[in-house]
Amino acid sequence: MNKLKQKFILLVLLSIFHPFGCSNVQNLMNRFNGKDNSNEDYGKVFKDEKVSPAQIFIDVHDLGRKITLHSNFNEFLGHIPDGKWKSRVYLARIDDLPIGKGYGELDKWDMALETGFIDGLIRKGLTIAEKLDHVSPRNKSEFINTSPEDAFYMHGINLKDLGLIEKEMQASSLLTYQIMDFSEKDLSLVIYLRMIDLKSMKVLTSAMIKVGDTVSNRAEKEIEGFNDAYDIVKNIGDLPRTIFTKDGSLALLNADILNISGNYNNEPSKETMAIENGIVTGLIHNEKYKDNNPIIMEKTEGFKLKFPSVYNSIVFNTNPILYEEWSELYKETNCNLLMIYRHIPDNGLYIKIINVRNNGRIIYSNAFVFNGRVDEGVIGNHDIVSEEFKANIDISLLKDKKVLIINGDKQAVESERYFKEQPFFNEMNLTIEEGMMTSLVEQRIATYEKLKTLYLKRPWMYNDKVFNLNPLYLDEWKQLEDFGVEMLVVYNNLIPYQKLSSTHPDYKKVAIGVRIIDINTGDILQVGELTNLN
Amino acid sequence: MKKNINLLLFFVTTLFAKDFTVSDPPMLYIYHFVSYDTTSILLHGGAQDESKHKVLRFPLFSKNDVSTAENLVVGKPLDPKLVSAMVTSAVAKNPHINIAGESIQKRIKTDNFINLVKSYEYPKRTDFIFIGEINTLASQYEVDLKLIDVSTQKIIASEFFHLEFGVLHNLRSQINDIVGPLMNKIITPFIGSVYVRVDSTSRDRIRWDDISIRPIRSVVGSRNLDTQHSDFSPYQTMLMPSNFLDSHNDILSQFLPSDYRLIKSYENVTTFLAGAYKFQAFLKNNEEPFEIDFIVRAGDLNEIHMSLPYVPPPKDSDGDGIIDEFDACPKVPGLENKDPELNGCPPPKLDGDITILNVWDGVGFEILRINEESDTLIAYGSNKNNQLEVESNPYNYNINLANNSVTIFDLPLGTYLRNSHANTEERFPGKHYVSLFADSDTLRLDRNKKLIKTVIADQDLIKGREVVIYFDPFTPGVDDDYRLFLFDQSLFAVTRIVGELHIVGMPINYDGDIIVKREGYEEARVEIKPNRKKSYHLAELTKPEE
Repeated sequence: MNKLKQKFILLVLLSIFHPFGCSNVQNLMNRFNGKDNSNEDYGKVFKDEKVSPAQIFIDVHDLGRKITLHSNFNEFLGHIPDGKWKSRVYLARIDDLPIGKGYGELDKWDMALETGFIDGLIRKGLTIAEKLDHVSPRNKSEFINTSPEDAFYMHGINLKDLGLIEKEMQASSLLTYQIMDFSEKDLSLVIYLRMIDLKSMKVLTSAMIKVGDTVSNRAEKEIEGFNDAYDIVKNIGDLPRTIFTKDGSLALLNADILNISGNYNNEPSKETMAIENGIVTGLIHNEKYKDNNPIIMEKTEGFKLKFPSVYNSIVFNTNPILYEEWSELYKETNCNLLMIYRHIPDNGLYIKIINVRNNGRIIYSNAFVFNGRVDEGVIGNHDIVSEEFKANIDISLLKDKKVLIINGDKQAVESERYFKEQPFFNEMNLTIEEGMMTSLVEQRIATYEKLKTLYLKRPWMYNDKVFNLNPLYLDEWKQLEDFGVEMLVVYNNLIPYQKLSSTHPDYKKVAIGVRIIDINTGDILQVGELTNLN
Repeated sequence: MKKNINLLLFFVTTLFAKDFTVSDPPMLYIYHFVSYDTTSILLHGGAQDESKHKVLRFPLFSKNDVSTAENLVVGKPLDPKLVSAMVTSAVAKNPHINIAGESIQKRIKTDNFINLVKSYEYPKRTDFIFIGEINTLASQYEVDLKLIDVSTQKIIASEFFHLEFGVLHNLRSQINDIVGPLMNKIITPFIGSVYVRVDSTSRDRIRWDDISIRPIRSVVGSRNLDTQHSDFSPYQTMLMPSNFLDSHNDILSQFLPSDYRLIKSYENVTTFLAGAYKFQAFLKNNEEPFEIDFIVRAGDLNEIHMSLPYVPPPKDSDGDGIIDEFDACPKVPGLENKDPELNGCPPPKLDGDITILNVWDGVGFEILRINEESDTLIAYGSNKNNQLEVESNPYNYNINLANNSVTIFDLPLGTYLRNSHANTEERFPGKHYVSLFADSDTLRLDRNKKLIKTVIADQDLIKGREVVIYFDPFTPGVDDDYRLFLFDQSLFAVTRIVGELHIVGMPINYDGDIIVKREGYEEARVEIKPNRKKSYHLAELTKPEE
């Protein structure tokens, strides 16, 4: 009886394994009949029991199918727009391809897993296209180590092949998955799923799913990163409703500290991908996303970053996107909303949304502490600055004006030192400016993101000049009209955060001088102080 | 003896009114010499005395003039001719005294010398007569010399000396000792010394010891004749003795000591009889001898001023050290050259001029001198708002009135490169824009072409895309510039105080590098690929040149 049962299983396996080709099937048969001398996998101990490979295979297959049985998957499916349900889906495992890494060592368990997953997808009613040799991973030279560099987390499948998927294989959706952790031994799996509409290259739905009895520690950071970001974004209640319209085309940009040094503080990794996945998923799951209008873009090309050395000359906290005009970004990417985020470990998440089509107007800005935790001060200072700004600056001066925030620092007296120290600024330097930004946006002041290069005075330009000049290298104020702004908020941060550790008592302090300057007249309309020193 | 000489001198100077000159020198007639004893008898020991030592020797006697007899030896006395010859020689030692003649008498008939003088004939021009007597006294001769002034017929000097028979060899020296001073006494009032003085005209041309002097006139026999060229006698010169330096200090101190020398004869006689002379000096470099007449005044230190006719230096109009005669370019300073046609001409002009035409509003240019090792920026300029500004230190330049052309002068011959580029425009502080334009011309200034005109091409607006190049770093100093070249090394932009350059009109099919140069740093090569889109690039100019 047992023999009969085993042969039945074998037949099932043959039907699954036909991609291996006959030789592989023969090998499997040989193994099963005990004719194969190579029995390295046979009789492995799984969960303290000696389990046959076939049984493992079945278990892994089941593990894959269980993805579709997870409650998160139901929510995943729930965000697929109605019209997309009947379309064919092309399944593609991408793993670390978006950060330029290959698949690594795949084995039969990966195959079993995908087979099970497909099994589940089919059972859920999706039509999955069988893969031939049309599709290849994207050549990483297209988006890794490019000059100028491409933004983090670019699409990992060959872009030309996407057309094939759509035309040759009649699949209008691409379902990508990243294995964040998988153990055939423990029968555990952490997987991130993303379904993309191939026509619009927008993310239809997204989810991270954990299946299996135990989840190893190997993906702990990724899971935590995903969840931290997901929890924050999903629960943001004040996102502008306007971004979720069907015309929205929102790209995520991991700004990190690019706008200080041009480099990432947190190098692109599985963890940083998980964070972005968490944000994507959180956005889709945000209550304001309920209309299922896909707005999140799959970044493919055109998201170019500034050359790092450029930051050595320009005004602080300029957007890391390369272009001179927001319209260029739109033209290159079709992105009309840019969601910039900065994940600050041990602190929280800063989010800013920019209306690309409106000359980079900041339509949302806020910083969030990770759920249930206390930050090291970055988010706290953001909030302090935001509140202080609200309390001390006469907002009526800025009403109906287009505003640009400029860090004046101490350049008028320490210009040379400023240029030396600026590359070592940190998230705290960024957050105090973003606190002002948040305050302005909350008070519905039209505040604009700095994009094009705006140069600072060189040290020699202060020579033989009257004291305390504005740090911008300008011949006249009206030149700033090129930036489409009318008022400047120039601030001088008095605390050298770049020199302080996060445990230093001054690290959580704020001491900022603010000047409101009318660009049309050059008049200083108000001088204020933002501080928690008292 | 000395007292007598002084007396003689007194007479000479007071009684003789006549002045002797070189053309009328003192004439002395030697009228001698008489011997009162024609024989000398010397006794000896007789016939029995056979000792030859008993015979007194007459060493000056000829053997033939001696005869002997018993106890008697007879010999001729001291020969008056011999004494006369010695006197004549002694007189002749003085170059200033002429000997009118001499007459030898064996015996005088009277003791009256005056009568004697009168009784004999002598030349009319005779001024003095020497007359002598030889007497034998004991074992010695006694020689008397009398000098008689013809004009007064008085004995103006009388000297004598004794001569032992055994020391007749001293006869000449004794005569010289008597005659020499006597002659000096005669002529001393009538002689002077002469020095030659040179000046700037002759200083470097005189040959100090190749001079000759002759009197203008001289007495020959009884006649006074002009001398001839053949009468020149050679003379030398010597440094001026200290006694003259003292006695004629007021005169000599006016001149450089090296400019005058005293004339002396080859016999070291430094005096001349008063009178007129002709001086001849041979000159260096075979120049025509210098001749001049001069007068010797008795008692004076007379000067021959050797002033040669001024010969102007060869004319050198341009002052280049090459006289006009041999200067092929006499009016232009030049250099020596073996080629007569180039000698004295300036070196062939090794510079030339470059004129840059069509410097239109908005264009910049530079002139580079092409060297083997590296090119040198010679000049640059640009036309901004129809104002042409040029920097070409140290070369002069001239801008035309229309402000669209400039000539740079006196550039060394060689090969030059004229690059032209559109001016960059700072449309926003730190952001410069340039319309792509590059035009170059290689210029060769050589001897055959010393003015080159180069025309900047008109700018054709190129339809192309925009290329943005960010510079790392922002130009550090106010004078630092970045220079941008196309792949073929054509300069198309020079920009200062800049963080980024927007190149407008980049051909969409441009496939090559843009080269960015920063002085002292390795150049940056910005790769430009064919593209239809605006593109952004970075030029890293931070690595110092090795």
